Amino acid sequence: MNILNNTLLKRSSFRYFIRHKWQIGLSIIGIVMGVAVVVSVDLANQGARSAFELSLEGIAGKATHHIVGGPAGIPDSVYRSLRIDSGFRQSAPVIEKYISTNINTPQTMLLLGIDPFAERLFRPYLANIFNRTAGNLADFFTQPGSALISKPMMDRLDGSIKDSLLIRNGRILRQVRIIGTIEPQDERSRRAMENLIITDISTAQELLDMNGHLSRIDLIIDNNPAGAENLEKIKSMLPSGIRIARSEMRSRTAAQMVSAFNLNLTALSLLALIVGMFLIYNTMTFSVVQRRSYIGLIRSIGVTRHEIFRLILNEALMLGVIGTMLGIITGIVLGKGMIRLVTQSINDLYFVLSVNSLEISVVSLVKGFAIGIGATLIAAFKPAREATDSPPRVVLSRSIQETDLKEKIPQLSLYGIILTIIGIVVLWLPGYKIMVSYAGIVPLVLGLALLTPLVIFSLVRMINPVAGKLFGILGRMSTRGVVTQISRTAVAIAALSIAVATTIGVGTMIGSFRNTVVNWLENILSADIYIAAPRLIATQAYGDLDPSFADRIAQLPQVQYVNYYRENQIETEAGKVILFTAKIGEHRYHNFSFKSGNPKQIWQAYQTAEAAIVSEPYAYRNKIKIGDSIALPTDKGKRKFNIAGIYYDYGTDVGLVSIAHHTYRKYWNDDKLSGILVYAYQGTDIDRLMGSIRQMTSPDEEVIIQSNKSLLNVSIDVFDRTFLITKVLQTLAIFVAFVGVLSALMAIQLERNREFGVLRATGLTPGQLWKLVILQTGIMGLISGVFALPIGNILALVLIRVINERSFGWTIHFEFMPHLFLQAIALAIFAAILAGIYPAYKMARTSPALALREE
Amino acid sequence: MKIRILIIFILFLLLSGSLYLLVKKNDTREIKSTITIADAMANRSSEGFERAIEKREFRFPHDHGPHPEFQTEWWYFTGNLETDEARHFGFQFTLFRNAISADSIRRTSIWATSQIYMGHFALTDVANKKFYAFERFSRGAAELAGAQSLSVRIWLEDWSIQAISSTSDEAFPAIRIRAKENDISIDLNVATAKPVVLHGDNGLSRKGPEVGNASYYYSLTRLAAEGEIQINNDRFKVNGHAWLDREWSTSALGNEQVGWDWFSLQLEDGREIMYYQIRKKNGEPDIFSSGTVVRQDGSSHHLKLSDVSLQVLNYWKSPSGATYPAEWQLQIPQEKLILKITPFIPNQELDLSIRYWEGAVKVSGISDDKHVSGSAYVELTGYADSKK
Repeated sequence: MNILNNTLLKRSSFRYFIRHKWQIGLSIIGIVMGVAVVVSVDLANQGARSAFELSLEGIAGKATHHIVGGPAGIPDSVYRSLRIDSGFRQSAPVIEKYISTNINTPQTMLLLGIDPFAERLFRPYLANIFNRTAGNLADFFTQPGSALISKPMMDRLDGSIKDSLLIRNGRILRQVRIIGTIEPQDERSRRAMENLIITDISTAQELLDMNGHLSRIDLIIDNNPAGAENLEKIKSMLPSGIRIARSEMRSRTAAQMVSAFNLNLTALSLLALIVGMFLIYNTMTFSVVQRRSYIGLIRSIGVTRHEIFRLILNEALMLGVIGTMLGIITGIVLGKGMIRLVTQSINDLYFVLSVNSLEISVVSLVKGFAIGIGATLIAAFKPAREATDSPPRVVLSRSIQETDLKEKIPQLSLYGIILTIIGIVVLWLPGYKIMVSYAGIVPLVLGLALLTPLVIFSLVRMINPVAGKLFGILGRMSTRGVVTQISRTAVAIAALSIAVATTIGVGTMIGSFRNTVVNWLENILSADIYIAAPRLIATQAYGDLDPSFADRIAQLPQVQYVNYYRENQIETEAGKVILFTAKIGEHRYHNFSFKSGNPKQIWQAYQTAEAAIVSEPYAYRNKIKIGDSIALPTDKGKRKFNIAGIYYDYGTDVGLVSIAHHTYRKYWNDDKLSGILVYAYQGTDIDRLMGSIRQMTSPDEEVIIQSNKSLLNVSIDVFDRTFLITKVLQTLAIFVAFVGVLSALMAIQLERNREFGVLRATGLTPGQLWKLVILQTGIMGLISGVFALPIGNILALVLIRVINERSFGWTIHFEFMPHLFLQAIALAIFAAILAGIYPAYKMARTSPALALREE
Repeated sequence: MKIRILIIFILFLLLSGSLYLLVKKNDTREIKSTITIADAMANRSSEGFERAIEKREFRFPHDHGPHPEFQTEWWYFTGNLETDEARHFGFQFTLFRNAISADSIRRTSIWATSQIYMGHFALTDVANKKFYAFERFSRGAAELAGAQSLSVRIWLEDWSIQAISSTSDEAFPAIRIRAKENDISIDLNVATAKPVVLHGDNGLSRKGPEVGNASYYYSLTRLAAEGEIQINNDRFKVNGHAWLDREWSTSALGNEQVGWDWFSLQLEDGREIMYYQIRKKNGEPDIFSSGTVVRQDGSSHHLKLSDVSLQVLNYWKSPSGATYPAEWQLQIPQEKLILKITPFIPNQELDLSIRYWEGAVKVSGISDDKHVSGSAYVELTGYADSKK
């Protein structure tokens, strides 16, 4: 049907790509990076999540429900009466606690105390301790400190640790003897038990100072009427303060806690991909423009529009497949680093999670593949359409297209403004669906990008005279060049602007956040010395301190007075919250800053009327106003607390609920402290006071004693650490942008072969050519940089006011970051100039005659 | 053209969807592992315990309680019961105590222990040819399981053997035994109807040639039992006779010994016979097989291997694959007894962590030319491979 068959067309596009390997190579790198970032973040998120779920499965086994209690756990008599009085035998006692060990660098592991006799229904993999092949059980039950760990972990240990594994529970150090190993039978099992230290329940009670108590009792309640009856029966026999929770709640709350965090990472990774898409779009448009005459020619000899459309899409698909494949491989490599960062952040912010290896989830790879190919095809669609628009007969000159675009500027700008408005409206929409907000960013960014031609024209008009004055004719030529080739330069500049704007936006968000947190910390850290047990989650208190310790410190002569606090994670109907209770002196309440309400009244209610105050993220997430109340499961049963105030807190996005310490003691049987705040008399030598306090601790306990200043620094370090991954993503996006700009600008310059040939023939020296090329790419960089400033700040505003608030509920004070602007412009100009070097070098070395020859 | 892209896209979706499902499905795999404990103490497990070497004086109720200085011990009830309508049931209810270490280490946790309790509870419903067997384990600590002699109580969670408080005989109190698993249960009161019997040499029962390879062994051979049995939704008032065996030791079968056949016969003429025959690897009965005849007046005398002739008349193959003897002729010439022993139902195999046959049997025969009959319990061990 056609005089040219497909093979010939394909060959021609192959030849074209071979001749433009720089262009193609760089745009493949763009896809590679875009896909790699998305895949690596996804792998890391999935990995962290599946590691968590798997470890829960290892710990929770087949339990459908748990009997849980307050901070002290549940008395073991509950188990006894459950088994004996109620005869409910689908139950198993569990003691679990995260502890630090001296394996490798201090490593967090979960000490799991079990009764092997009750395990068969719950964790069969532990019940098979009774297999004849297991060996002699006597030590496991009778020797103090005996434990099992997984075989792979055991193999990694060096000899000295095997004999004396030290574990630290809060401030107490204890020694554990590994008497045997659990060998997982497959990879999944290996990961599930990797971080477990298994002991008998008696050993766990002794190691963790939990004699008389259990962490929880696992239950299997059948999903039938008899099961429901059992559930009611068990409920009725539980003492007050002890209750039943469904098993899946545990993993669900964990997933909820990190979902906003994960989503934000994913969104940031998608930014890198969007930049990559601009790159594809740029490359494909460019290849079409370059081949206009060729396309016109083959159309005139009978190649159909469809065939050309298909040709261009096939080319893009090829780039997409190669880029995506390489991107997935790179993503896996990147993912290994990424999961460490993600795990670190989760550990700092939410809960203890240890992931020692990256599980390569097929789902992530498939997702990455779809996204890579999809993005490529979407980006190539418009250029492919454009290619088919070429009238067959006429070999059009580009100038028509350039004039076209110039005429279209008002129209494009109008579209841009409309899209921008749509974006803003979507972002403005109230509601808590964070995905909608993210979706709003897309039209906003596209709309702003559509304004690029307009911005170019306006800026060039301003730059042109200046460039003329500074660089004479060459200066004017280079600025005019940006406009005359606007069909190519606009896309490149838009891509560069968006990329640079992203870095400004994310940078401004992090910077503003950091300043807000630092201000808050400086305000809240008013004591001279802070004492706490070592913690496993950086932003949450963990260990126990004895109340008598606070009393003894108060008696030191240099100490003016002592305040203290207690922090516990409790499960409410609305999910996990941190119950923060403090004894804080009258003169210190102003350290809390309240979002609304009269501080004095709030304080009164807090101290005398058993009222609660809640942190801003908690209030936001649960839509709580002052005057509402919150039901908390206390040791004396469920009780409602009125909410008197909402206070700023940036310590954690897991909701904080705070009541006065004496209120806490009234409803909870827990006299332990999480931290002690020491206020010294003026003029006291704080270091010496810290020394005296340290002497009051015994050698087998570890207590963190910090001055005001070092706590501030530690807190800021934690902040920086949790944002490290964001910064890495930001850097990767910058890199993609950089590659993009490099490829786009380089292509533009390389394509001007003939034009430069003419200039050279008419007397332009190689030196002048260098100047011309570098000047032009530099100016394009400058334009992008300048245009990126407003876009960047709009993005920052969106991130701070919309995304962050809706994800976490924090109020962040927006701050301009001038150094980021300078950095952004420098980056843009640097990339642009770098992009000019190769073309300039090549042109300068080519003899004009050669350049002038038609291809 | 566009259709082709669409097709490719749909294929891709299908492919990724199925891949996803594949991955999903894998995720339900169970966590599996094998546990290995370094065997530092492997062959010393019985070290440090006392052994049954010399005769001892039995004291009651003290000896109803535990003897933790010995490694193993059991409270072994069996019995044949009937409803008023003569519906027959057999029951076995045993609590075993096993110490895994003789070391006494001071521990602070109340869960710490070296005492492990195992319970076996079996019920034979002759009319329906049904046999139920259950097993449970617990540590002998945290009040989950244990044994005490003062106001006798031996319990494993809610399975218990307990002196009835109103009882008048302090040394041999009436006992309530209770066991329940799902909808199968027994709740019986048993009262001593005949004096205690000390087996072997005044209660020292030798099981092998080595010194200390012996146990202390006494029985209450006739206990009047009455109470209630529950099988699913049916409850039965029953009464009959039960038998208690009490044995404690630090010994095991010798290398040449593979198992035993143990008989506890309650004849209607008022006699009881206990006889166990230890089997050797070559199939021969071991010389240490022995028994006791208890007369109507409660007097007893010892039976040696040579005093007894035991002949297997029939065999039965269990679903688990083991072949058990299933009918016997027992002759005790000095008692002028020739008895045929037949299981009420063939399948009374306890398919538990230790696999053995223990069941209610009926006895009929001739004594001194007169017809005798009775009921009994038989235990057959060492015929089946144990489960892991």
